[in-house]
Amino acid sequence: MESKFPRILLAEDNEVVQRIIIHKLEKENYSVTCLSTGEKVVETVISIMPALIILDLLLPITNGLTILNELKSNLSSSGIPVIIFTTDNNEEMLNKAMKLGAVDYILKPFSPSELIVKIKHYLNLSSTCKL
Amino acid sequence: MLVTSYFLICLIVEMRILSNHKSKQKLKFLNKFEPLLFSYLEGDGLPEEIVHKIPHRKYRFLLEYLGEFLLMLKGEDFNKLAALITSTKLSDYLLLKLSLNSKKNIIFSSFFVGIAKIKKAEPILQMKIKKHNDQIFFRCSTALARINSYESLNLILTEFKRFKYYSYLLLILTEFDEEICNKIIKLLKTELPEPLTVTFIRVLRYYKFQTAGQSVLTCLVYSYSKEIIIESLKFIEEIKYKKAIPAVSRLIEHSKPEISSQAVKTIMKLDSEAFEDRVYSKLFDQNYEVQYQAAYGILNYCNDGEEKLSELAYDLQNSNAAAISRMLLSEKKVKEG
Repeated sequence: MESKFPRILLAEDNEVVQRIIIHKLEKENYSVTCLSTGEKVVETVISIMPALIILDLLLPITNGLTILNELKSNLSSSGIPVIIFTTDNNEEMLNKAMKLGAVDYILKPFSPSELIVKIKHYLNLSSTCKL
Repeated sequence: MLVTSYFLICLIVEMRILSNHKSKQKLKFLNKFEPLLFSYLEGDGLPEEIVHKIPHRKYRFLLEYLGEFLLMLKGEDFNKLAALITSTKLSDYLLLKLSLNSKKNIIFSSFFVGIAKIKKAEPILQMKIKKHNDQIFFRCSTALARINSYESLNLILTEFKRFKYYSYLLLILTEFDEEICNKIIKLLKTELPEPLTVTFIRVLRYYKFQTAGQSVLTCLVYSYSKEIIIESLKFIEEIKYKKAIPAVSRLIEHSKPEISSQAVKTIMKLDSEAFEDRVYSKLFDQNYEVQYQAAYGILNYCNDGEEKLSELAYDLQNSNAAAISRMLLSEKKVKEG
């Protein structure tokens, strides 16, 4: 059954970060699908078509840049906003991610409220674009 | 042999049971405490009320659990979590553990007093770093740095003389806030051992501390040490300190290729237009690293860099420069997809 709340896909391997984000997002009435490795991110995105993706760059099995590249090359997923989640010593990877088409980034350690503000902003933006 | 194998199997089974038991206890604790913590972060309850609900014997679990959150959060949520430690009985618990003589307890508690910035821990940490143990020194100095205990800076530097691992010192110093850079600028005016000067300049580079431009330029000009000169060049490049251009340009012709190649790299970041011809001539240097940096600079910072390297790429008279040009051009093509 289709959820009436926007679905967000969270691809993040750190359990603590997962729990914090899931809690915050569910509190804001978003439904969340969470993946801990990069293996099935693209496949899951294509099947559930989330409204937004939060993508850790350093995922096990398939890294964030490869996933982002695949998402942006695929017509059905290329329009989904992707927010990158990374540590601050990954400047080079972050630049590459922004060039590949990520809309924004959040650095770890992070502020959950800042993340929520960004998510709301990009969801509003993409719903305005669809109109 | 049989008896040994039997005991070994028993030991492994016992360890498995213990580890499973601990994991189950942790999970039970987590399921009970996490909703409490999340509602506290949403604004429900005071720090003392939350900690009061946890039995004293579970404090270690609680701290281990909070530690993971403290490392991942910043801003208001971080401050609220830190308050669970600083303004409750947890703070006394940690100070007590820290003052004990057990290495395990010192290492455990120093992490939390540092990350939660418990000022009261300063005197104990200062005492501990005088102990002749590298792990304790490193952990307690890191905690002092996280507390921003500038009163302890001289002590840390003095006690560090017993160790040789300057990469450790770099990690400790970068745990201080940006104010450490002003302290370092003052210290750079004094006579220092070469590795310490290099470490200090690395800290300034880590913070991209613009105000340190003149101090590092002085190091660059007056030092004969290869390491200090290279580190100063890297800093100047990082903050794009244009006043250093004359000094950097003189080093392009330095006899040591490590310095010359770094100078080429730095000057191209500072003013590629003015130095294009000089750097181009370095494509024909005797040293590979100098040639490589020159080619890289020409390709990435000059308007017609790609054309220049393409012309060189099949020049049989300059085989090294040609090979480097071909390699960089093909790398660029790959990057551009």
